[in-house]
Amino acid sequence: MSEPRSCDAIVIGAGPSGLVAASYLGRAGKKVLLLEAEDKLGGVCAAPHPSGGNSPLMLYALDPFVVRDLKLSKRGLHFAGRELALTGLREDGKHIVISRDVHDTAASIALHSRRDADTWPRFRKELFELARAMRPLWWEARGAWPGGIEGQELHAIARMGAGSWLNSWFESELLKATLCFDSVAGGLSVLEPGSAFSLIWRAAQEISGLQGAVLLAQGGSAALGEALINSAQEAGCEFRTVTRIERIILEGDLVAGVRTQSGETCFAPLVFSAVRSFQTFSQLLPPDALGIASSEAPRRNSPVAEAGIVLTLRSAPRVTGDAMSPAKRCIIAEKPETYAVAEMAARAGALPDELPIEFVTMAGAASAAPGEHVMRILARPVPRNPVGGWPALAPVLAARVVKSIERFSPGISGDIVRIVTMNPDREERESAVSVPHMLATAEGRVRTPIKGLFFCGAGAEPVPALSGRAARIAVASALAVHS
Amino acid sequence: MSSHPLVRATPFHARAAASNLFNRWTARNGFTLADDYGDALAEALAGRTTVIVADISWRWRVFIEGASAAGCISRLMTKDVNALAPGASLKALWLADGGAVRGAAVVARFASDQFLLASAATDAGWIAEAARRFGASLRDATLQEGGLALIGPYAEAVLQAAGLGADIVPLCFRRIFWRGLDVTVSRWGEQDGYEIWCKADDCLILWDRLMRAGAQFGIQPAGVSATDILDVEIGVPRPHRDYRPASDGFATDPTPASLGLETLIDEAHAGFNGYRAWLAARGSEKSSLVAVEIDSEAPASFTPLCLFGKVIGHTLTSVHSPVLRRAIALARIDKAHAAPGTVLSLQSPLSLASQSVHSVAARVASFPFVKPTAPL
Repeated sequence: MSEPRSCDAIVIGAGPSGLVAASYLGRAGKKVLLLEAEDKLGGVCAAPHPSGGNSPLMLYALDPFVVRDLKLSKRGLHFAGRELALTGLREDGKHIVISRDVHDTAASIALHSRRDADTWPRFRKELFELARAMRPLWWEARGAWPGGIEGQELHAIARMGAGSWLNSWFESELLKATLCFDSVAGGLSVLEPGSAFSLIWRAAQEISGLQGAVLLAQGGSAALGEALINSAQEAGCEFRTVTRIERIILEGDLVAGVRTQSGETCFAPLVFSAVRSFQTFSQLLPPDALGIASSEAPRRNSPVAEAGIVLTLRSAPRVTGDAMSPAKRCIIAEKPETYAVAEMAARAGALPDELPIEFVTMAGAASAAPGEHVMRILARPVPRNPVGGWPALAPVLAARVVKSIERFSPGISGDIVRIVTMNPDREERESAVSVPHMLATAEGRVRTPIKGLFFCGAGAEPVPALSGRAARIAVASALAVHS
Repeated sequence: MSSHPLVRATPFHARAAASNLFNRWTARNGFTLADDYGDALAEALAGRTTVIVADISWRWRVFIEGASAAGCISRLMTKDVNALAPGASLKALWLADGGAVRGAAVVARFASDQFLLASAATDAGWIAEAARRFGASLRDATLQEGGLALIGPYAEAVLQAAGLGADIVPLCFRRIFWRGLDVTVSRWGEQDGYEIWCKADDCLILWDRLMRAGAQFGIQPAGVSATDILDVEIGVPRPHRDYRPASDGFATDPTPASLGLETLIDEAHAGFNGYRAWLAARGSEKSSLVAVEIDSEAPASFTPLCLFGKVIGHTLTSVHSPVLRRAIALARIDKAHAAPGTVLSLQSPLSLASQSVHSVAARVASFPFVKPTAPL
């Protein structure tokens, strides 16, 4: 067994969040040890995608401060697209295209409802004002709940479902259904309090900078991974791959370091965990470190999840009445009730007959082979643990999704080279999105009951997302306390 | 058909149904039980003067097994089970992280790596989470076994007449092979009686043997109402009857002190879940559990108690005690007025006999109201 060693901070998990945390720590002059269980750095960015190459199309909501502070653009991170218009599809080609241009959007909505077209600019203004009011709470370590009328309004919206909130604004079913897709992230229902707030969170991402709420890294996810690894290397971080953590070592209620499965011990007064909060509490901490409720809390999970599908196509897909260029996020959902009905089926463990679907495609954003195009599809909600299991259900899901897209993109099924389904992880233990989590301060989400132990992964975001923001805030919070 | 029917019968149901002449039933912990077999007061009195047999199969019983079982239970419960010898038991609480009472149980050690947790209320999710964290395994025995309680001064005599005479001291138990049946005889109850547990399939034989052996001592079955009377006489608060156990993991109320259950906590056992919260809240409770004697024969459950016209608390379960010949109650009142002898008042409840509400005197008394009768 090797001699115990010591450093200033240990980061568990060298995925994007761990790399961001390590970079910030290194830049602050700390001696950092970054431990990764796999044989490559980068986590999801480095994982070879089942469709070949690196993950072809990943959606990020990168924190603008992270992009700026870590100089990611100079490190080769470029975006294939900074904005993907949200498009609600209709079979007759009268799609609703929601872009940054208010007038174009209103004109598109006017095909369905004159009243909604008039309302849209007001809705968008209010949505963005509310999102701006929430930014300090979500993005700053010591941000506070907004006061005044906005605070009261946010309190009311936090207790509303997206369906009710959008109903109070619009009459067009297609418009509401298109907007609803973002509200059901993290296993929420459109009828559930918190889902309306998800829309505000999404809007807050959109006003966060040029990269917006949805962006595609040029060259796929590997480009982001490489930029972050480069940043951490330059900050002087030490990396260790194929190193699994056995235990986080405690002294009383203070963190003292980690012990690896190979028997190595490393002492550090700060430990940042980029792995799931449930895994951190349940598997890495000693069993008696936390109360039963405290350790169980992150495990509460939604019975519904989302499933990803990647189609590799021979040619660029086209949508009836509207070419796919410029790139769009297309939503297939008729009305808000579609989500509610699908939710009921998914909760019962069945694949919904009518499944809300999002699909995205963009040239240059994926490492598809020459002459091939990649389409990324997201279906939600689907059952997390379906009756009969996912291996049996995955082909049914793929067939249903392709059939659904075929309605808007005739002939696409004949163009498919490969279909890869990414089933919801049955062991996924990250918190389901909840109102208390969304309303917690940023510092409240990254801190743990163990002094010196911080969360820095996607689960420490108001809505789980790969932004690097939680890592930035965790480091700021830790350094403020530690200094 | 669901594997967990909403209405469940205990393994003694066939015998209970035959004896339940007035067809009066009640439910406890999801099981259908005889409320009384004709006269609850007579059954309770028999529990003090002769001997009664009560079906206690409704109690939740779960085995916690494995090399880490002792560590798991010691973390979970408010007393340390590491020093417990096989065949011995203790009574303890389990608390939420916030220090609230989630449950009270008997923990019996069957082997070095096998413990039984027996409780009046189920908290399966919480116990399962604790077991999972420690890598212990759980086995719910509630539906696999049945149990009868023998209560009264002749309980031991009945056991001996039945050929089950065993020298068992309180809080101990013994496994016995009894004329073809594997039974466990325990002394976990508060009434100084015995409990006999066996496999569900053997339960009717157990009932018949005990009733035959007890006939010479006037044994009679007792329903839930009678055992509730005996419980209140002893001063034992029961979950879901007298208080709502915490279901939220971070709850702070009800505290052990407010339920008079602090004796079930070993302060030296610092490692149990909720220890810090309990310690922090200790002494700051505003209410406490007291015994109240009511100057009336009519029980008054969950009725406000007043002192000089000001409400200072309320009764919990109230019963008519056949041995005291008056109504008694468990009550939660302001700690400042909890001294025995304090005279309070309560509004008598409306009844069919009396249509008017009037004030009745009630007096703070000491626990227990009645001590279990020792055999002559």
